[in-house]
Amino acid sequence: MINIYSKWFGYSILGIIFVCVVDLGRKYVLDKNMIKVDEMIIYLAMFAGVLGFLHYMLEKDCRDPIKIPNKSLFYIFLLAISVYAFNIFFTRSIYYASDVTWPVIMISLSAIFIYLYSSLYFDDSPDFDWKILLGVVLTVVGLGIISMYFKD
Amino acid sequence: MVFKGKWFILAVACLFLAAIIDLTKKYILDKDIVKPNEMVIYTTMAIGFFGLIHFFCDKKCRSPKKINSKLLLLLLFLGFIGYSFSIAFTHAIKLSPDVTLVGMIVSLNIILLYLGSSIFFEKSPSFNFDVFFALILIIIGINIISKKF
Repeated sequence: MINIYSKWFGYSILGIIFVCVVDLGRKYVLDKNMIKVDEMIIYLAMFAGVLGFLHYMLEKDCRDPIKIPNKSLFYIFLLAISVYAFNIFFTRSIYYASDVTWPVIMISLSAIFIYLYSSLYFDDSPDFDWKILLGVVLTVVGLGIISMYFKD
Repeated sequence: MVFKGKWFILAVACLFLAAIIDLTKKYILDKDIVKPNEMVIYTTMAIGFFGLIHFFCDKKCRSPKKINSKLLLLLLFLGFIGYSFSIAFTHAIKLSPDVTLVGMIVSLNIILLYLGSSIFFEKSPSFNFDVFFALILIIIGINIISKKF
């Protein structure tokens, strides 16, 4: 069983709350036509950058970029490009969708790909198990049924 | 059927991007190449840099002076919460035995999103009790996964 007292579970619960606030907040602002989609992407990214810089100044354990291997920095750079592309697509998607839940349901399907890839290729992850895949599929079917009840 | 239109194509693109992002984060963290906080810091600084480039390239983007200050405050708040999410999520995938578990738990946000948007958002469809059956399926799915770990 998942240990609900473990640290990662606590962080995940916090993640649920934060992601709900962010997604609902974005949809609220876009629904009210207070700002254009691209403006939201740009300003949120710049604010995140400022917060990252503040965090860098305050975090004493954070190594200087020079002390981090180039390969790692390259991975982080690729990661940042993916996150920025994700932000562009996701913000546009919630703008066009009638309900913010639709795009989030679609994105949750990524759990299947993540499970398959991590179990097959990551050394530290548990081996592939059909029962786990069944659990993932049931979850996704549940999400799909929810979506069918919505009328667009 | 609700799965059609521009939002759907964009959401499918997000699906693959989310998988790439989560897997890359887990790969880097498993290899102990960087610490979780370093990953959050440098990734967001790079994102901020991309945002700045986007700002200069997008001629239609209004200057911050022309945007309502309350809206800017709201965006700053969202940026802060998003940053907090990034910290919590990165630490969670570092500590969890498998990145899938964190993804599954965080995907439960759909329930809260559904409640929030259906109850408080005028443009969203109203609350429907039938979705509970689907929610039970989701919980069963999560339990099957959790028991196997």
